Order: sequence, then C-alpha cells, then structure tokens
Amino acid sequence: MTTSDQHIDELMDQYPPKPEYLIGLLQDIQDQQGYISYGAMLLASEHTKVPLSQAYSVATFYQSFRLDPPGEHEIKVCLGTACHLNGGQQLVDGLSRKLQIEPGETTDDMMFTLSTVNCVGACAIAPVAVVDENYHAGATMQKLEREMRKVIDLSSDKIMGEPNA
Amino acid sequence: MRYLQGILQIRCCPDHIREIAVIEFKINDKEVKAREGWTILETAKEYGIDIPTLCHHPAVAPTGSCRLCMVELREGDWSKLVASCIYPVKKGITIYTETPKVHNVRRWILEMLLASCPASEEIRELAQKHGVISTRFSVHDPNQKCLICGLCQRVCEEVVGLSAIAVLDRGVHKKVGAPFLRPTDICVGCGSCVTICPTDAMQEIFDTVRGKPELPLSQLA
Amino acid sequence: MHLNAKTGVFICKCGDCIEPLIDLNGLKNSIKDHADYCDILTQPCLTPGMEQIISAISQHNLNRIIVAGCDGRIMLKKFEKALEPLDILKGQVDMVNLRSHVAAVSDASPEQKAKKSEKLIKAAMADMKALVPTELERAKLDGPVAIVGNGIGAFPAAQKLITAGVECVLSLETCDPKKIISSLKRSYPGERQHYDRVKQMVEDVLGNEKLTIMADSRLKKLIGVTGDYTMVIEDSQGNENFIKASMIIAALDAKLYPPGPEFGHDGQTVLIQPEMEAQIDQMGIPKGDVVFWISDYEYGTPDFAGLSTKSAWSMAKHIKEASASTQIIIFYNQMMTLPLSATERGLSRKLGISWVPYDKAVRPTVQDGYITFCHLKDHVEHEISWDFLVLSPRRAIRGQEQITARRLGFIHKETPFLTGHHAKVRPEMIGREETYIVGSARYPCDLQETLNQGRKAGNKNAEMVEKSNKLQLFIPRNVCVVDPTKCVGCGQCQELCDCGGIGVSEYPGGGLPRMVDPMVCTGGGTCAAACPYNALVLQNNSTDQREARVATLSKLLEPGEVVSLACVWGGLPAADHAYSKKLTYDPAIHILGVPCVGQIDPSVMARAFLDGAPGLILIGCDPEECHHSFGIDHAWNRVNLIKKLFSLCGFDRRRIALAHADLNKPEEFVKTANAFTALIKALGPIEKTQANQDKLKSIYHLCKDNNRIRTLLSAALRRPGEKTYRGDQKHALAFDKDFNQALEEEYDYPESALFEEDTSGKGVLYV
Repeated sequence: MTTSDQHIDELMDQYPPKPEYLIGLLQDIQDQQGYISYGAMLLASEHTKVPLSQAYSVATFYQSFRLDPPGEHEIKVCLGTACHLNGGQQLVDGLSRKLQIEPGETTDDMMFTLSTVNCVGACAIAPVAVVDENYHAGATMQKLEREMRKVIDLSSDKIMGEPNA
Repeated sequence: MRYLQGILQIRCCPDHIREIAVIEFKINDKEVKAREGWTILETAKEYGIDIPTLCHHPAVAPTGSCRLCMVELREGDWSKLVASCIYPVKKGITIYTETPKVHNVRRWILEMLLASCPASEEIRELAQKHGVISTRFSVHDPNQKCLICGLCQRVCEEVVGLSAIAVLDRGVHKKVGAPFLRPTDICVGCGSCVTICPTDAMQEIFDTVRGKPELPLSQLA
Repeated sequence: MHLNAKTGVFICKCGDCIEPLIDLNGLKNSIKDHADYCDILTQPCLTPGMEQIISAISQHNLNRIIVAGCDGRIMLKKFEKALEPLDILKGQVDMVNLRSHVAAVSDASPEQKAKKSEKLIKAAMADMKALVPTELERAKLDGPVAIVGNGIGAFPAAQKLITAGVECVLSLETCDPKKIISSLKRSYPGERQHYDRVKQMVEDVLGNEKLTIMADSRLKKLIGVTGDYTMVIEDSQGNENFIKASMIIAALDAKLYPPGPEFGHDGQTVLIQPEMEAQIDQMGIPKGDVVFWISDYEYGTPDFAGLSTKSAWSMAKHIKEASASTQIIIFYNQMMTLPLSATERGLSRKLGISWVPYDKAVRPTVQDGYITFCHLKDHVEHEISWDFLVLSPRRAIRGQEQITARRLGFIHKETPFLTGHHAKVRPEMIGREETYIVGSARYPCDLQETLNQGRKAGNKNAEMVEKSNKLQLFIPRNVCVVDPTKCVGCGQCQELCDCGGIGVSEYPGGGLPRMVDPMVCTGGGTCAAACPYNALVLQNNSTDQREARVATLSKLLEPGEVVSLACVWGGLPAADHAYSKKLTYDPAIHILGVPCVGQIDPSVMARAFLDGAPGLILIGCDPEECHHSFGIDHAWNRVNLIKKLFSLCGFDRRRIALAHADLNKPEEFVKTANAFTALIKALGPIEKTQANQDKLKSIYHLCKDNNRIRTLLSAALRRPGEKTYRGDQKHALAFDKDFNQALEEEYDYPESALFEEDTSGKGVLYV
C-alpha cells in the first residue's frame, strides 16, 4: 500500500458499514488517491460488506473510476466532433507512438498518462489537447512535444536522480 | 412445522401447501393448475411443454437475462411478451409458447447469440433446433463462447457462498472474471461454475480464476 | 432423532436429459419395494416438484431423502435448504447423479442404465440407513474474547470489540505505551507517518474502562475448544491465572534481525532498518551519507523486498527533509519493480534521493566505507561510498512470539510464518485465519496491514458473538468427534490433522484423550480413517455409512463392473464435466462421491472386495491441489496397504488403484475410467472360492481391527519423499521391507473353511 492509504482507513470510518455506501466511498478514494488501488479496493469492499468481485464489478462498470495509478502528468486529447475533424485522432496516434503507450495507459516511468475525452467544449480552438489542466489550442505534435519537455527534466540519467558515480 | 431462525417457512408443511391457492390458467389453450409462487416456466415444465432457456438453472434463482424463454401473454386483443422463467402465474391468464411473435423473438436472440458467441457448439445446436442456422450480424470475436448469462456468478454467490467471480466492465468489454483479472484466493476451486455453465466457456476462464496459495509449498523452507 | 430410517426415493425425469435414456418405470419398480416411498417426478428441483416432495415426506414420515437426478455438487444445497424446516438436516438428504453419470455417458440400453441406476440408488439407501444423524447444535460462546500476544494488532482489535460491545480481555507483556511504541518501531521501522496515531490508539485502549487488562502477563497454556477455552496466564509474580474465553485473537509480530556476517553487519555503521530507526530516535539524524540496500533478494526472500523498500523510502524521506545536504542512495536489485506512485517519484526527484539498480547476477560486496556492485548501464563494477549502510532486516518468528504461537497450536512444520494453507473447503472457513491471528508473524506485512488485520479480527469476532447471541451460530454438520472411552491418546490424529482442529482434553484420572474443536474442523476425515482404535467418527458422513454404501454396491455388481470413490474436488467434478462435454466412457464404472479420498478407511476398501467388487479405484486431486492438504497422500498409503495385503494373498495388486483427476480436464478422467475398467475386465473377477473369501475376510478384519497395523499405517502416512515425515522411516526401501514384515506377522489366513470358534485369539470371525 502506498503512503496515501494512511488516509483511506480514516475515510472508511466516515461511512456506515453497509453495501449502499460503496460507490460514495469509491468516489472519495478516487478523489484522494487519483485511482483506486488494490489495497483501497480491499478495504472498501471489506468495510461495506460487499464481496470483492462485486466491488470490482462496480468499479469497472463506471468510467469515472480508474484502477491503475495515474502518471505525474496527464495528457487528454479531445475527440469531440470539431476536434476529430481537425485531426484529433492523428494527435492521439502521434502521442501514442511517441510515448509508446495506448490511450488509457501510463508510461513505464510513470511520467505521462495519455487519455482521450469526448468534448472539452472549446471547439473554436480545435484540435484541443489538455496537459495538466492547461488547454492547448490548435495542438500539433511539435507543440505538445515542446510542452512535454518543459514539464520534465529530460536529462536522461536524472529521471530518478541517479548520481553520476 | 418449525420456526427456524425466527422466520416462518411457508412451504414447509403440506397443510399449508394445501392452503396456498391453486391458480388455474391456460398454456396453449390447455387448462393448467399451478400454485401461487410458481412461474410460468415451472408450470410448463411440469406439464411437459418445452420452452427453451439458456440462463435458467434450477440450482440458482432465475434472472431473465437471456430472454430466450419469452412467451406470449394474451389479454383480449392485446398481447405482450413476458419472460416465463420469472413471470409469476396468475389466475386466468392465457399463455402461448409457439406463436409467430415468440418464434420471432427466439430467432432474433439466437441470431444475435450466434454472432456474439460464434465458437459455442451448444448455442449452434440450440439455434439449429429452432431453425436458425446463420446470422445477419457481424462477428466481433470468433473465439467467444461466453454469453454472459451470469449463471457462474450466481452459483458462486448463492450455492457456494463465496462470490469469487462477477461480471465485469460494460458494453463490448463485458466479461466474466475474478477481481483484477488475477487468480484469486477466494476461489476454492470447487468447479461449480464450470458445471453450471451452459456452454463450455467457463472451462477456459476457470484456470485464470482459481488461485494458488500465495507461496507454493515447495518454496517455503 | 430419527434413528429409524424411513427412506423416500424421488426419481427425476429431467426433461430429455434422463427420461428418454433410462427406463424409469423399470427403475421405480426395482426400488419401490425397498424404500418407504418411491416416485418419479417431472422435475423435483423446481417449485412444483419440491412441493410434491414435501407432501410425500409429511404423509409418509420420511426422514431420509434420496433424489436421483443430477449433479449434487450444485443442486443438493437447494434440497437441504427446502427440507430443513421439516427436520431433515444436512446429511439426511442425498443425491444420486443419474443424469451425468448414467444417462448419456454410454450407449447402453435404457434397461441396462436402469439397472446401473438401481445399484447406485440402493447403495445410497444403505448409506442413509447406516446414518446416525446428529441434532442441530448451537455453538456456545462462553466467556469474553481474549487477545494475547504483544503484536500491535491487539489494539485495533480491542477497539473494534469495545465498539461492538463485546466483552474482552487483553493480556499484554507491558502496559507502558512508550515501551509498546518502541517495540512497534523495532517491528515496523520507517513507518513514522503512523506512529503518532498508533500511540494515540494504544493510549485510548489502555485507558478504556470497559476492557479487562492483564499486565505483565504471558500465555502459558491453552485448553479447550472454540467457545470454551481456558487459558493459563502467568503473571509477573509467576502466579497462574485461569481465564475463561470464548475466542482468542493472537496478535503476533515477526522479529526483524540482522543477516549473517557476509553482509558486514556491525550494528553501528552497517545496520538493519530497525537499528537505523532507533538511532534516529535516540541520536537524531545521522551525520554522513546513507545508503539503503534492499538486500531481500540476496537473502532468498524476494517477496519482502517491497516492504523493505517502503520502510527505506520513508526513512530516506525523513532524513532528507531534516538534512538536505545528506546524500541518500537507495540501492536495489534490478529484478524489483519500484513500489512508488507517480507522486512519490516526483517527490523523490525533488528531494534528490537517488535510486540505483544493480545487476542481479553479481552480488554487491560490503567493504569499509564502500559497496561494490555491477552497474547495469556499462557492466563495470562501480563503488558507492557510505557512512551508514542500512540493510534490509531478516524476518522470522522468534522468542516469546514463537513460544506463544506454539502454545496456541499455530506452528506449522511446513511454513516459517503462521499463515497456514488450510483447506478452504467451506465458505465459512474462508478468512477463518483472519479471525484469530493478526500481525506480521502471520506473514510479513507493513503496519497499515497489521492494523487492518486487527480491525478485521475484531469485527469478525464481534460478528460471531452477535450471531451466537441471536442463536444463529451452529456447529457444522460434518465434523469429527472423538469417543474419549476409546481414545488412548496416541496423538496420531493430531499429527495428521490439516486444519488444526484436534487438541488435547484434560481428563480427570489421567490420560490425554484428544478432542476436536467443531468450529475449526473442516471435515477432512483422514483422522477418523487413521485412528488405530477407531475412536473418531466423522459425523453425518461416517466410515460406517461409507462401508454400507460400498458393500451394497459391490454386492449388486455384475461381472466386469467396478466401484469408484471420487472426491468432490477432483474426480467427481471431472466425471460431471465429462457429461457436459458429451464424452462417453465404459458404463462399468460406478462412481460414488466422497468429500475427500483421504477419509476412506482401508477397511472400506477391503469391504468392497469382500462383497464382490473385482476392482476399486479412488480418484482424487493432484497432491498440490488437495483441498484437505494431504488427503490424497494419505489415501495413497492406505491403497498401498491393500496392495501389500493382496500380494500376501496372491491377488493381483492392480485391482485397487489410486488416480488423479483435474476437474477441468474431463477427457483425462475418461482415459482413467476406461483404462481401469479395461484392466479389470481383462483380469476377470476374483474367483469365488472359500479360500479367497477367507483371505478377503482376513484382510478386512486386519484393516478394521488390527491396532498394530493401523498404528503403523497412520504413523507412516505421507509419501516417502516428504521431508516433514514423522516416524522411523528414513529409508524408503528399508521401511517398506519392515512394514511388509509386520503385515506378514499380523495377517491371519485361516487355511481351513469357515470355523465357528476363534481359537487363535487373533482375529474376529466374520459371519
């Protein structure tokens, strides 16, 4: 369990131990941790007295729950009508190739999560990509690559702070 | 008669059974007698009338998810289709099990099943029995056998009492599996799900569900 | 209760699954004169059929019900539930599987299939007649819940129990919160984000007036069964206090200790994590560079690397936040995936903590001020300098924890920790272990997990108490019971028991007969089959019942037909699935289901042959899959005994066989069934001469009543290769020779025909 689970059991105590509170509890966990970890799922299912398989079934049923940990930076590419017509899918494909992950996945070093969304309501500036809540109008691969380099320190060995021994 | 856990068991005594009203209705223009609490399907079976089912199994409670057991219920000029496995018997209703409407429903369902579970022999045979040998729908996954009837989930919950597996995800991604799609310790490997599965889909899923102990015994020293 | 069996047989038509394939009218005619009631029903498992069964039961006062239909494994529960209000309890209802074992699995004629069905049903009827049903007993929970052990899990457990209003007693070695927390830091180093709130919890619990606390005490002895324990607790003055308890929660934490000298541990500059934690506490942040080496892979315990890493990370964070100039490196085996979230990685980068993976093929070497390792990038051996080198701790159960665990009966020979691989054979057994043991001694875990385990145990115990108060807690139906008048206290059953349900009862007048804890017993039954004095009985599923079933079936067999005993986890579902897959096999095999082949007494095996079976095959699981841990291995030894006896008598050893089946491989089961039936057909029957009958009688009596052989057999149970093997056997060949010799000495073959009087004083007559 990660250190943020420390708060999870305090969260549990706010909910009565009954099955009908499962979704509310999962939502709170999602808000706090960014995803529902294995440990949190176990705790939630035990606390609300819902069998683990059913709790997991509920979590997979709803799109708003994620079950894998998010990366440090989230890139959301809009695939609403206007953005799609303006090359949104090509952006997704390009990013997918660059980061070597499919939409919905996170890179191995946990830096980036790539996902697609249905419409962010900014059709005039299509195609739109949102990087860490920053909206990028008329996004292109070049612009996004520049943006990604800005948010991380790309000197290759220092990703995890390895010393130059 | 006995009180068990403070709950009155209604059907535990023949005197009480006799007190439960006999309900008379018609299936295929034939008078049938049932009791309150029976379903149309149960009555039909008792009278030897064949209604196809897929998601029904006497070991678990019926859910009416496959809809193959639909029958036509007529009231005057108007009729509706009901799922016979869950529809309770009612006095004076008229049920028909072999009308064009009913055959149409079966054909649609079987065609859809042929498309969604193309690898299942049992579904192909059932379809053939009802005159459906091809499907107009496109096949999504040629290896799919599971029709997501939920019998495995129900037997694990109701008979075994463990709820080790459930139906997960939604839409085209719906599948049966253990939590986190990993072998689980909760499963005891009793094989009830494999036994109850109407196709042999569970056979393949089973090995991904039954859990090994955390550490194999040979690794402990 | 209903000792006089009145049997009702209900034959199911099952649509087109049974009726067209078996001559049901013929079957009914052959059964009806032997049963108190027999009828054919359209579908007994649906509501209409159930009502008919209930009417028949009431009209004819039936108390043994046999439904000849389909798979009992999934259907039997429905009948049990529906008939319970009529006082027909679990054990009094049985199912014979006509659909999956008779109707469609061969090309025999409907009349032949009816004959086979008749045999199986009559065998089931004999079983039911031999049944001595027990009353539905309520489990009594007499006394408070006791929490023993020094693990930190005791406190959340106590909290939950107090909240639920359950009386509890806490027995601790120390009641000083400071000492408890410092001991906590030694067992769970680096979890400083929890220490304060745990301290608060400890103080709350200790200050709670509703709790009875025995300070400075330790458990000396435990007597009794679940619901009725007596604990002997020794206090600091050495006085013994006798405390009654209904249930016990053991809170035990594993000890963290240093590795061997090859890692250079000196406790001052080369430390294990708890020592670094203590140093930070006492002397503040260390002055100098710190390297944390996650050395669990090198200890041979890679599973604990994640735990060690989290502690290391936590301590590293603390040190770096307090002293930014300290150089910290966390040094780990390349095989490990870092258990850090994205946020934590970001934080690590910000703080400047380095993570260096090393080549798993080259073990890092500790030197004075340096550690050398092989770098993955360039395969050159680099050196990292350190002022403090913090190693992962080794983990084991030691000291007082080990003593307490042993006194509670938890120590398993096979595992270094307390988590057992107990059979999960009933849903109420799942998570049973979580009810009574919490802490890292169960299996190494972090503090969060232990606290969670404590809460869970508290909740589960509270639930059980609540259930008991509502009179809803019952003793399971299929558990073993010891007859103390027959038990000599040899302890074989306790050795063999895989669920830990057998303990010693103290009897006035000396002797140490065993007793079974019915709430723990999983009904494996190998104990009953092993007891040299037949002192154990598996309730509602006894050896007598099985013997009656096998005897009746054997008597009814036609030439070439064989008996099979198949376990409910392996052989039986494989047979059931052979039907689902529309496979066919030789109908000569007659399958009887048992919970585990390990509960089959050798006398039952011998009885089959005595009553005319030409062949008997036991079909169980694979050894690593056995749900009763070693049932299949025990069955092996017993089958082997019969083989040895057959050799002595000149019978073909192959007539009795042990096979393994996987429920998901029914094709393999078909191979087994066909191979064995073919073999027995080729061998033909055992010639029905007087001499042969006498031999079989002697074999039967030896298996049933000869205490010496039964003792030797149960002491020898396990296959020769196993290391945790008790008894004298060290050399497989030598042992086998010795055992054969003992058999020769004990086997009593009367050369003459039946005689009325037993003059030798050895065996008992069979009449």
